[in-house]
Amino acid sequence: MLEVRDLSVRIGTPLGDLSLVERTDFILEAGRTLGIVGESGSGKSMLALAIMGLLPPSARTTGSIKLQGQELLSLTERELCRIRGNQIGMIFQEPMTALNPAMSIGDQIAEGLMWHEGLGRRAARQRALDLLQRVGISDARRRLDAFPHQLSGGQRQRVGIAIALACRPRLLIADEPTTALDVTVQAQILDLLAELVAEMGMGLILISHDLGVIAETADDTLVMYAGMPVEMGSSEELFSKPMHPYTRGLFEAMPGRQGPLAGKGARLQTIPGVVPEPGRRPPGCRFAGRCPYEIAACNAAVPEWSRLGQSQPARCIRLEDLP
Amino acid sequence: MKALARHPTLLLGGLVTLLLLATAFLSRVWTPAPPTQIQITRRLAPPLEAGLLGADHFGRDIASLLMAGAWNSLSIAFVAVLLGMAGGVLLGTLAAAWRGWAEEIVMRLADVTFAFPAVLSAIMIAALIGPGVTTAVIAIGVFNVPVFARVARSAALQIWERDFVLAARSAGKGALLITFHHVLPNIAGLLIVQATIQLAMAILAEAGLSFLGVGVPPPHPSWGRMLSDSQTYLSQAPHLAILPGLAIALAVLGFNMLGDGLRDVIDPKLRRKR
Amino acid sequence: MILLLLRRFASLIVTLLLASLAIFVVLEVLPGDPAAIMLGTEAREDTLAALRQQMGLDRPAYERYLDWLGGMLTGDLGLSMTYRVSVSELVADRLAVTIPLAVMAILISTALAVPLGLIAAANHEKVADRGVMLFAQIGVAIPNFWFGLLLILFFSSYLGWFSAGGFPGWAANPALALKALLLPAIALALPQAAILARVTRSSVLEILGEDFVRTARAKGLTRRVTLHRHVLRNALIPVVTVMGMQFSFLVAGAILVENVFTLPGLGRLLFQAMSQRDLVVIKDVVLLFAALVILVNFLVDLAYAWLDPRLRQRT
Repeated sequence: MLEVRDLSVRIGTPLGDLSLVERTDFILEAGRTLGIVGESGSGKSMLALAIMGLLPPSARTTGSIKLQGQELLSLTERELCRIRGNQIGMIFQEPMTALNPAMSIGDQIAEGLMWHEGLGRRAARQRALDLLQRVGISDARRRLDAFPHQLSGGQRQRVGIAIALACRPRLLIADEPTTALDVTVQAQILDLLAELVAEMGMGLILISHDLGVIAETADDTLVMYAGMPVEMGSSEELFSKPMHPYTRGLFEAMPGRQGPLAGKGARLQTIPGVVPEPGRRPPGCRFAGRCPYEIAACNAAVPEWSRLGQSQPARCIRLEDLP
Repeated sequence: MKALARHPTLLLGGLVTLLLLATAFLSRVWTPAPPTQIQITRRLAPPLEAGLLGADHFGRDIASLLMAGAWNSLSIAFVAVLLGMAGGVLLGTLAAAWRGWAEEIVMRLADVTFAFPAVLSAIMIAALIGPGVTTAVIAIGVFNVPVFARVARSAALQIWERDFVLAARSAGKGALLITFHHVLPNIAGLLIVQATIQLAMAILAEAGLSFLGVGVPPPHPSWGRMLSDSQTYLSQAPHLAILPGLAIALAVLGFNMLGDGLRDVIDPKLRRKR
Repeated sequence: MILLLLRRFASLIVTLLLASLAIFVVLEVLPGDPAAIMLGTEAREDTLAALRQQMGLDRPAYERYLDWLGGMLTGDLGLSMTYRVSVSELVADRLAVTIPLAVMAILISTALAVPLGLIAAANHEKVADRGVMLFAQIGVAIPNFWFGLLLILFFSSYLGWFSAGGFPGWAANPALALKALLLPAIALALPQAAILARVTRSSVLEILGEDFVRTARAKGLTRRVTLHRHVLRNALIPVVTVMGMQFSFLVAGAILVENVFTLPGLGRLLFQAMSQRDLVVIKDVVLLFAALVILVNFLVDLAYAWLDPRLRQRT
């Protein structure tokens, strides 16, 4: 349903062009959830905005993004506006700031419906009420006229989901939807998302730096590092046997990873060093410099995808030599 | 110099201001003609026919009048802003240091004073003591007090939140000492920026006051009164109305640009937006 | 909401009282003998005594202050020494010029500034933006009374489209009266528009960076629609603040501009009263101006609550 091929995002700065995302390919089928995981600075949010076509004007996106066979990158802004919010919905990280403080939540949900489906005020309001009930807001009829500041963080994120789902999109992108929330609320929101994906048969891209969140929700997982995917596969395989040294590093950073939920909320801090900034990335394998298995050849060229037997693919030239 | 090249506003504003100050000081020792010299034969002469910029309704040399006017305008503006700044910063920093009812009183007073623009209080004062330099300085100075009080208070409040002030407080330093040692040095840059912008406002206000006849009394040259005098000869001698206005606008523009430029340097965060 | 209103209202009353007290102290207590100031040094003793009597100067200051306030509330502003008519009448006629002038100036400056600020922000760092910023920089530097002179020079002396000043009165021909106020209103509006355009621009730029703008775009709204529905309302809060703060400059400007265009407004009345040292008129008119400024700032406070729902609940 969604097919991304050789996607790259470059941004023009006074210091020259910087590459934010490169060599990214993946396929997402309807009804399935793809988890994208990586530290901050790995380019995962840029990837999401590139699919939405919402990158700043100084950014250039090349490659191919096909939604149900339609090439998004060749569309005009006007055509993209017809797809955004209609066929693709997006949920953002900060429920505190992602809603307009001066507009009632009912109006904010109804707005997309009136825009895309030409509904009248009354009909859109009724749909907004249904949506609020569907995302689990209690006393929805009264909440319809509430303003964002009158809701808790978890409730606001539910409203954010209602906005994204208003027009029953084919694809939903959730960028760190639970990061800003309390742990107990996180689980509720993730359950709600999983439920809705199953119910509406849409594809979900779930972006998180939190392996626990990905493990719990995603069917497939894509690991990003410094703007490039480094490992990709079914979550089951990837989580039971991570291949790439970076993925392994992430796993080791999870405290006590016995149970499936053990790593919830864990921050990925224990790999020494930080993700190199765009423009300061190594020429070959982007993980060189932080990788414990680095050899000279790693810096020669960007590694192609390789597999060890039947394993999921990873961008590493030393898969066979790894312990 | 590199810093100047990166901030064209600062460079341009600084140049205009410097030129203005130089003109004002030069007028104390030299002007093309004595600014108060009346020469009825060249009455209302257009520019270049008598002197560089022509002559006014008394035949006085306009270029000389403008130069001497710069001195009067700038000196009144400087003194008034300095006085207003002294009073306002004192009130504002104390309000921030003491909080509570002291702060409430200062801010209420600022609200009240803010309702009296310079022209309004100048008229009150002029009705009592007559027009003159004192009237202009008091009126403009008074209006600057609440402006600086508000700026100083909000900036000082932010400094009071900082860790090093907390450290000083836990070391037992009093509010006054902290204000002098920590708060004032840290808000000085902001105050200088504000003062530059207030100077521009003060030049405008001074021109307005002398236009109304409550500023510098005749025969001292003043830009505002030159404009007021020009009204009678508007169609005969439009240069009488155009030239002093240009001088005011240029002076205000210069100080405003200098202020904006200084702000860019002192507070680069604001740069993108301004 | 009601509590907020009450608090604001109480602070309005306190500010008004303080302002009136300040005016009273400056004009009646500090000078010692206001009658002597009004009549000048050559006044005869018996005329002085008569004026003192008429102004009630033999009574204690606090009594006179309370009387004055009481008079203000009942609309009895005392008798003008020079005009020999009640100040209330005098002021009512003049307000009919000054209030429409101020309203026109605010309308013109807002109609000019908000679109300019929006255009500048939407084209950040492009030609349109730089143009608006240049206009703003020059606009604030131009004194409104000079701009008024230039307007007269161009539109009445050169083109002959307008008369150079004066006011025909509302009764005779409202259209003509409105036309007489147009040039003065434009002169008043220019510096205001320059400041407001700048504030609008920076405020819109700030809101454009907010997350909820991205949410709106993710709904599929075009840039334009997002700007109108989501950005503008939120961006107007600082604009309204500055409008309130600028109102005292508008009042000051009105005094000057009314003198340029010889409009029989409150500012011209104040100017004439000053020339004649008519302290009674000065006292009343200055308070009226100050009260106008304070009242407008009160209304601005209320406008916040309308623009920003978060403030409706805060007490």
